[in-house]
Amino acid sequence: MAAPSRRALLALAALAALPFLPDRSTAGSSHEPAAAEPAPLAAQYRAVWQGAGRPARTETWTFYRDAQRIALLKPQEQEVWLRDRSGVRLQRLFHADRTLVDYSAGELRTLRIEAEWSALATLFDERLLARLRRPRGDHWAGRLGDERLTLQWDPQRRLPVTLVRQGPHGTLTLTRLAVAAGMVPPHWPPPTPDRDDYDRLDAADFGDRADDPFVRRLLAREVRLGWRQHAD
Amino acid sequence: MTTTVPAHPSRPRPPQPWRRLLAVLALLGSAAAPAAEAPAVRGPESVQDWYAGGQRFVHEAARQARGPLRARNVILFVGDGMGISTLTAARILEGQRHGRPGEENRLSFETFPHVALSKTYSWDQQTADSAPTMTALITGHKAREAMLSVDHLTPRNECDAATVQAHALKSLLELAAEHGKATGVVSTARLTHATPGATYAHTPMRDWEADSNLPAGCGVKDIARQLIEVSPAVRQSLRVALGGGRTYFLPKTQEDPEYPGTRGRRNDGRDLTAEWRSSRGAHAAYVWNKAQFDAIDPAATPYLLGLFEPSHMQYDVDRARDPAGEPSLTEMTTKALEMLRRHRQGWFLHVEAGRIDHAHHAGNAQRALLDTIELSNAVRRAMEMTDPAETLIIVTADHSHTFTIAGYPHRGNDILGLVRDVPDVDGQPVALSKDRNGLPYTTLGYQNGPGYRVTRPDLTRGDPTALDYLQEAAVPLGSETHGGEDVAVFARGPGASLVHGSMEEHWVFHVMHRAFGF
Repeated sequence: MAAPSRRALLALAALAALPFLPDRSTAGSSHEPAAAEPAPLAAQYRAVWQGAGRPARTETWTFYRDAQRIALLKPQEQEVWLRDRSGVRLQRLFHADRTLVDYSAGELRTLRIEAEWSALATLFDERLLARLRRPRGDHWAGRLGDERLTLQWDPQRRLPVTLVRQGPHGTLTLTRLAVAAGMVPPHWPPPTPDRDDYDRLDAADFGDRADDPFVRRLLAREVRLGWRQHAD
Repeated sequence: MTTTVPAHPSRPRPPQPWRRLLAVLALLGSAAAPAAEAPAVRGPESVQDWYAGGQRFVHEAARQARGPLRARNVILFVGDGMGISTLTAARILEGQRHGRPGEENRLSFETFPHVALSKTYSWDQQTADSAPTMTALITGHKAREAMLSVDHLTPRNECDAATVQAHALKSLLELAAEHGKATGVVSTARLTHATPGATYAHTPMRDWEADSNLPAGCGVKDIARQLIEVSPAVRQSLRVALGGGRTYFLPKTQEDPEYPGTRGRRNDGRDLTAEWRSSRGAHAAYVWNKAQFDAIDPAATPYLLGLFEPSHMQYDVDRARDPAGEPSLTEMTTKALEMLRRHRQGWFLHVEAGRIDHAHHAGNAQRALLDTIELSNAVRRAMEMTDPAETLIIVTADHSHTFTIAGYPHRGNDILGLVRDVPDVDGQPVALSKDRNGLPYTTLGYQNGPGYRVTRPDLTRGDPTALDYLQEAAVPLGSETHGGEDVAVFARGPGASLVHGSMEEHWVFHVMHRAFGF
């Protein structure tokens, strides 16, 4: 089976195993046309991370998507993809460090991150379904890269109902709790992509700040999960 | 443990009056303030050593120099991170983009008659960062890691404004202003970043770019504020400042005009772009996009501030994608020169290609080389717009990177591609050079950085000439580092003959200072 495309990996980005950032495996290429963009909505998931030899961690993740923003809010981190004329850029918030990191569209290109909006917006690249088996209905299963996946897909909302990723670092299980197509429940945490009370870093400055403990940790995580790697 | 680098045995340690004065001040103030910790690494030089050495160098050089030594105008071009391997690869790439083999090509400044090597170590770094290196270039003194235009006795993270002021080193821009010259600063990085920042700001920490970056209670002005609140002489002199870093000048309550959802980062509520206009007179202008920039009439605009991105400007190859459009380094240099050359008393301009460094840190050689080519274009424009009889142009780098050109590629081999060497037998086609495991490798690479691979891949399956390709690295690091070897200095015009031989980086200031005749 061919390796997942970089697009697929980005769509999986938001589902990275706790507490890691988006991962990638060996990039391939896909020339399949992107699907039409999905309708705006918000959703909440229960995320259970079971690392090898570690107790399970359970969190509630909140997901938002609209034409200009895709956000995944975890208790300790927040990832917001923003789209404008420059392309797609990213803001990552790390609440424990009270730090916001900006990745401009140009910086993402330098990192060879191809932010495919429709893939990010569905939490799972629908085009990958073609690489999985479909034992029944909207249930899918198979391997992508070094991970085994089982997925229940919601074709109307174009979101996973459940998703299990079993990989070398552990198993992530997502179970959708609720979906809001209009008014978002008031108790859901709002996406706050621009916290002005946080330290703000430009990812392009990481090279000049290699001694900063936060930058060192973040760089190590990005490298470990494939964001700053050789081209092939 | 403290490491004191021993003094050179042939150079006796001179008296250090600054140390004695500071010791007295420390005594007087010690009842209130705790004593600062001694730096862990210290060079053997005194503050005066730097200046005296530079003056000696230019004095001796002037005795033997040929040609005019006095310049009316000076331009200092800095390619941030533009080491010699970067120059070589960029010249080859430029030549190949024009359909030639490439090696015989010359970047614009490689035609300059005077060349030297520059030693880029700082007072406490064998391989230095951009802060002390630009401090050296612009003040004539080597300095400490991360510090801008303050001497090496400045305590790290010093927050007392008076103490920082006592250690401040006057920059060539400030000296030019005091002598009635017009001045300008242009960069593709944030205007508050280390290299442009050293021309007008004095700070113990390069990261203090906006007030939100300052430690709580810190009395030192942030760098953006220092651009606006300059001395009266600099306020009158600094006619043009163009670059990135818009959010450092805007309050957090204000949304960025180009990127909805992004706001300014100032806590003090100040809009420094508005203060630029209000403090520089009725016809002072502020622009943030290409259309506004193009509309500026240099003859009718006495003061111009341009901030074209919330942070750094785009890499030159990515500029076309900028939503609001932004000028190139060449266009900014042109506009600056159009404004400055109207001043009969002369002018000083600093231009930085600030993102060569960033591309190398990312391990992305092609972007670094393309930005180097754009710097060459900017220099070429400056050569066209200035009289070599009255304008000294210096082109140099602040430091190098770990970027390498390796293997035995044949003449004209694609500089971005795989190594193919000269065939052993005439008539045989060129073939890939292979490592000892039978795998090909690229000409370009890095000693460290994100291009590390545990197992080397077969590069024939990828495209190493792709724009986004990250060249291989020998040591795994999330971000590639600077390199410690010397960089080149190229000079043309009056005083250029003082550039020669092996120079300390801070001697470049003394060449420019001597040329101005201050």
